[in-house]
Amino acid sequence: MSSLPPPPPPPPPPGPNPGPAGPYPGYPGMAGQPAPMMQPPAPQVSAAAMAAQLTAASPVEDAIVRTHNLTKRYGPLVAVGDVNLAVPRGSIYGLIGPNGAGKTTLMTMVCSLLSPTAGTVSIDGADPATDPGAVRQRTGYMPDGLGVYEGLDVGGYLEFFAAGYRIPRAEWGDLIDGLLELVDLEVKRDAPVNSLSRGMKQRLSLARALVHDPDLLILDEPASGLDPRARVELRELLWQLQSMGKTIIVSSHILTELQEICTHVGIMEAGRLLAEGSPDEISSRSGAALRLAVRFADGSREEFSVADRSEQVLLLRRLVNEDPRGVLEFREIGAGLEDVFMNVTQGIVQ
Amino acid sequence: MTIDMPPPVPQAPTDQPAPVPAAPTSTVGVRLRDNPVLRHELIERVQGARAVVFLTIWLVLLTGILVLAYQGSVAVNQGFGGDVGSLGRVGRELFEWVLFGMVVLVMFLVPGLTAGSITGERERQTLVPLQMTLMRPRDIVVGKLAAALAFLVFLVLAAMPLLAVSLLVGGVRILDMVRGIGMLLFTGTVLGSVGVWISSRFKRTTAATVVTYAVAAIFSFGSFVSLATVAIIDASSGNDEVTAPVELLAFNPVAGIADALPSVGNGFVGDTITPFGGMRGAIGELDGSDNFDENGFRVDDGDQFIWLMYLGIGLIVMAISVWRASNNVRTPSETER
Repeated sequence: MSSLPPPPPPPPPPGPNPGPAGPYPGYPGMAGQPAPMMQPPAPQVSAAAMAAQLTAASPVEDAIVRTHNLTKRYGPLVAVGDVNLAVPRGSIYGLIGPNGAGKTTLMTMVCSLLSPTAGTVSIDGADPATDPGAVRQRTGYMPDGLGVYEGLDVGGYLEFFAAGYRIPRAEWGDLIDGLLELVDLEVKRDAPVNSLSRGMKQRLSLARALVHDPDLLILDEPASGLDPRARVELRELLWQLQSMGKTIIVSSHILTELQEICTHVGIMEAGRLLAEGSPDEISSRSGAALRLAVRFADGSREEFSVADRSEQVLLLRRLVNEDPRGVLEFREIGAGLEDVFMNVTQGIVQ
Repeated sequence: MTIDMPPPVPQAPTDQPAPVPAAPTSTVGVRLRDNPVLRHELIERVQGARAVVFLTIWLVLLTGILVLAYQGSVAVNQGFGGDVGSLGRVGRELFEWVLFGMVVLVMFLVPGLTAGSITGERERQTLVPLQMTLMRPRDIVVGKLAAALAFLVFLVLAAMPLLAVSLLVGGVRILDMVRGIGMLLFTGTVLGSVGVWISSRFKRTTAATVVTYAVAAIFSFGSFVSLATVAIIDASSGNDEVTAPVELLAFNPVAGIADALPSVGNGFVGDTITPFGGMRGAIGELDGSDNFDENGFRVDDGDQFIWLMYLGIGLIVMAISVWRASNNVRTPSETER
C-alpha cells in the first residue's frame, strides 16, 4: 500500500467508559489498590469458579451490545451457552477462542443472522430477533468468507450494497469515493473484484460492511490468511475506524494481533465466555503473571514475575531506589493475551 | 452520509440513562427497478460469452424447428389442395411448432437459470452480506426470479422474427400469438419460482439443479403418466369408457398452452398436426367437446377450461414457491445457512 494514511496514534484511545481515573485506564478494578509484591501463583480453582470470577468484570454502563444468558443449542451440542456480554461503546472488543468455541455463532446471533435458543441480545436497545432491520441499520458484518461477485468491479460491488441499504443513488459517488479512500483502494475502483489480492478483498469487504455507516462493526477473523503487511494495514485501519467512533468486535486466533489493538477482550471456550474485560483486567484476575526484563547499568540482566501492574510499579520503584546496579531498561516480556489465554482455557474441544 | 468526516465519539456520562429502545425498523422493500439483485443478475446474464452461446443455441434450434415444420406442413397440407385455407393451416402449424419448441427449451432452460440462484450465493459466500442489507427476503427472491424471467423475455424477443414468419404465411391471429407467448412466459415463471424455492432449500447448486429438473420432468409428463395409469386401470377392469378426469391435464404446460389457443378443427378437418393440436384433441376426447354434427359444428363445447385451471394452479404454485423461498432466505434463522 503506497499511499497509506498517516499512522494513527500508537495507543488507541480508550473506550468512552474507561472507568474511574487511575494509573491504568480501562482497568477500574485496580485503581489505587496496592498489591503485595511477588504474589505466589494463584491457587488452582475449578473452571466454573474461574469463569465466574473472570466474567465478573466491573459493569459496563454504556454498552452498545449486551447479551443476557445468550444460548444456542443444536440438539445436545451447546454452541453458545449462557453468555453475558457487554461491549463498551467505542471499544475494540476482541473475541478470542479456539476453533469451535462459538465465536462465529455468537457473532451471527448478535448481528441478527441466527436466532438464539434462549437469552437475549440488545444492540443499542434493538433486539435482533424481533427487529432485525434496526440492528442491520446499526451493524456492519464482515464474515469469515470474502463473498465477492466475480462479474463486478470494485465500484460496482459497493454500489450493489449501497442499493441494498437503500442509500439514495445521488449519494453513491461521494460515499464510494470516501470508502475506497478509507480502505486505500481508490486506484482499484474500476478493477474487477476477482483480480484483487486477498488483503485487498478483505479491505473491500470491510468497506462493504461500512457502506451504511454503522455504529457497530463485527469482523469475523478479518486477519485470516493475510500476509504480515496486510495485517499491519488492517490493524491501522481498525484504529482509524475506532477513532471515527465505531465500536468494533473482532475475532481472531492471532492473539498478539488482538493484544495490540483491543481495548477489551472476551475469551471463549466450548461455547462459554470464560473471561471478559480489558486485557490488563483479565490478566490480573486470571492469575497470569506479568514477566519483566530488567537490564542494569553493570551489564547484567534479570527477569521478574509480578502479579499485576501495581506490583510492577512497586518493583520498578524498589529497583530504582534500592538496587545499586542502576536500572537501564525495564520492559514487559510476557503475560500477554497468550499467557492469559493459556491460563484461562482448558483446551476443551466439543 | 460521509465516511471521511466522522463526528467524535461522544463520551457518555456515567449517569446517562440506558439507551431508549429503538422503534422497530422493519426492513422495507426496494422497488423492483431499484432491486440490486435484479440489476446485478441481469448484467451478469447478458455479459460474457455465456449469453451469446445461449442465444445462439436457442435461435439455431428454433430455426431448425421452423424449417422442418414448414417442409412437413406444406407436404401434408398439399393433400388438401394447396388453397388459401391450406396455406392458413401451414401458418398456424408453423406458429405452433415453433411455440412448442420454445416450451421444450424453456423447460430445459429455466431450471438451469434458477436452480443456482440462492445456492450460488451460498457457494460464493455472498448470501450473508446480502441478508445483512435492508432488503426483505422477498426482494432477494423476486429479484432472482425477475432476472430469470427477464432473460426469458429477452430470448422470446430474439425469436420474434421466427414467429413472425407464421404471420406472413397467414392463419394466425396476433391475439393467438400474444396468448401463446403469454402462456409460455407464465410457464417459465412458474417453473422459475419452483427453481428458486428449491435453490433456497439446498446448500449445493448441483443437488438443487437435479431436483429442479426432476420437478420439470414431473411438470411435463406427470399428468400423462396419471392419465395413462387411470386408462390402464380402466382397461384392466373391463371398462371401455374413459373415466380419467380431464382436469389432470391442467397441470401440464403443453395442455394449458394448447387449450389457450383456439382449435382450428371442425367436423370436416382435424386440428393442426402439432403437439398442441394433438393435445386439444385429447382434451376434447376427455371432456366430450370434440363431437361435431354433420354440418361441422360442435355438438358440445364442453365446460372445461383447462387453460384457466392451468393459470390458477400456476399462480398458486408460484405464490407458495415465492413464500417458501422467502422464508428459507429470511434471517434470523434457526440454523446457520
